[in-house]
Amino acid sequence: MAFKSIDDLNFRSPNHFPNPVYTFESNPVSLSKIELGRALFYDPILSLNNSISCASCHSPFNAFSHTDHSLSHGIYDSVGTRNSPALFNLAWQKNFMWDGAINHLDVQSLSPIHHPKEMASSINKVVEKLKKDRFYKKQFYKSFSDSTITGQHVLQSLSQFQLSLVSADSKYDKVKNKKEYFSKKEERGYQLFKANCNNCHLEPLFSTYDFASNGIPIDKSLQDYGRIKVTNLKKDSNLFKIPSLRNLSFSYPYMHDGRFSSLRQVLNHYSDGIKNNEQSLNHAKSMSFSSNEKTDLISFLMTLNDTSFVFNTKHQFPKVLLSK
Amino acid sequence: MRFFFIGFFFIFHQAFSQDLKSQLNFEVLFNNKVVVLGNTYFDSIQNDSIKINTLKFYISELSLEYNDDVKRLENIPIRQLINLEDPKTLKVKNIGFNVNDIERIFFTLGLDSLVNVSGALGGDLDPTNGMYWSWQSGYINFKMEGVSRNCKNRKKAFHFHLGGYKSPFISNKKVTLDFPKKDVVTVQLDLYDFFNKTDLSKDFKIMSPSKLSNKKSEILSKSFSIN
Ligand code: HEC
Ligand code: HEC
Repeated sequence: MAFKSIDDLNFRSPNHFPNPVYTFESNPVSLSKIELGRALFYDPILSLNNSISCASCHSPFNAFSHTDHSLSHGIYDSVGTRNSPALFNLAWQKNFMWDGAINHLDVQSLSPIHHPKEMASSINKVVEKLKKDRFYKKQFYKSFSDSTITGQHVLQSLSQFQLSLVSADSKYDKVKNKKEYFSKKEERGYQLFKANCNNCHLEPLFSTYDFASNGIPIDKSLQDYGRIKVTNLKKDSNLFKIPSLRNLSFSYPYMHDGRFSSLRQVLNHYSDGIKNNEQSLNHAKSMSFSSNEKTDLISFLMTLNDTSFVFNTKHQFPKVLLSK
Repeated sequence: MRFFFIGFFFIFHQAFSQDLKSQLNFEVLFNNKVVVLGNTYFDSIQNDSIKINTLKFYISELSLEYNDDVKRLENIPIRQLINLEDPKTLKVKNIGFNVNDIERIFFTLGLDSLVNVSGALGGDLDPTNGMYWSWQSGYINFKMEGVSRNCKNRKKAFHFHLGGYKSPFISNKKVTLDFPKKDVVTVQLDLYDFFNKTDLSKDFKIMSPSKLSNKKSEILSKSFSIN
């Protein structure tokens, strides 16, 4: 991989990516903080009864999403209302959650930690538990030169690990860096993609990270209207954050409620399911693809799978947790 | 590194404490009586008796208007959590002033919008203070919880978590007060008007940014006086 401008000594932005938006000045990345954040991410100590970790819903082998359920499962097997999104390239995102309720990566972790159906704890309880843990006392001291563990430092460490989850080594990236070439099918799919999808799923991140409707109808049983919950603005009804299309082979099922389990179903929706009753720019226009075109599009989407990211051992369960 | 910090602290302290005798304190009242957490207070307008168990709020963007020869503003960069449970938080930190020349004091009840989008912060702004919403980004500017006889909620408990930093629900409010010529100055917040205007049998819960949150914050911001 080629890297450009060093935004932070320990965070390198891939050459063909735009500048990250994360505020590195207020949380300079260090290897020891990344490792500390990694331990916290995999440690169920963050949940009330030590049963659920972040990784319970965000598994490395699923590009940090979860594939068993369409809706996430948390503490005491309670079922949430949304599909857990894949986690990567978070340094380039300005809003978090399907409706953008969270405005900064650092404060995102407060949501699952406090959510009664997720980890059912609180940041205060987490800090109290960590203060009694010799392993963490040592690690926090090493990382922050401060013997008191604070909420701020817990959250910043979790951010650091998540910032290190950069996916930029798929076949698509290699093509962009002139190391490989698309096959004819992939190239045809790429052209279809650029004509129909790129305005929302903007390359090279494959999302503008703005809010839009791709025309899927409301699930009446969930009554989830997305962005409007945050802004109270009518125009935001039924808008959801545009997800990246990297690593789709690992992160099914798809959409905020996990309603589609295959890319065929997704393309069938885009091809036949959109009714042009909305005129706004934020809404997908109806489009139509032949069966061959769908196959071409899927071939292209497959070039966005980044196996060196998904199987990167540096992102997996840290062995130190076993011996702590 | 250690020495650097001690040096830095020394300079900082000097800069803000030219006159160490001077002091700015906060005090919370209910109809002119000092509020003690857990005590009962009577609201004759609503005919209700009220007990406050939690009361915390932020003040920020403090500035003093001097009028020596020319008018000038001294900005004091604080974002302080006032927590009735912890008396030492009632004293404004790192401030010293020359009373004779000060005409007015300005501050914001709540936090400025910038801190609301700045990620995880420490000290008074650490989320362990219980003043950060978890499900949606943003600080709670003012938090008051307690019980009242008329309250129709479970266990007669009321919860007012006032906040919001984004239009149209911006709940931080500017306060301006004339400054008395005294060394020890107390800014008082009297909750009486708030409760007079709040029928706890109907209005007992605000947990997110809203019109009502703005309105209640406005009432509180007008309930300050200085002594
Ligand atoms: C019970 C399952 C569950 C647990 C546990 C969980 N998450 Fe999530 N996570 C989700 C769901 C569901 C969403 C989407 C929520 C929404 O949109 O409202 C999400 C969203 C996120 C996002 C936003 C991603 C984006 O693209 O907007 C991040 C970052 C994240 N989680 C990190 C974490 C971290 C860190 C932890 C541990 C502290 C954690 N999660 C624990 C289910 C979970
Ligand atoms: C108007 C913007 C827009 C356009 C154009 C668009 N999408 Fe989407 N796409 C979205 C939004 C928004 C979502 C999330 C919708 C939800 O969950 O409610 C989404 C979700 C997806 C998902 C699911 C990803 C996941 O992780 O759950 C896939 C796959 C997808 N789009 C592929 C495509 C393809 C292929 C095209 C072009 C044929 C396309 N999209 C065109 C906005 C758009």
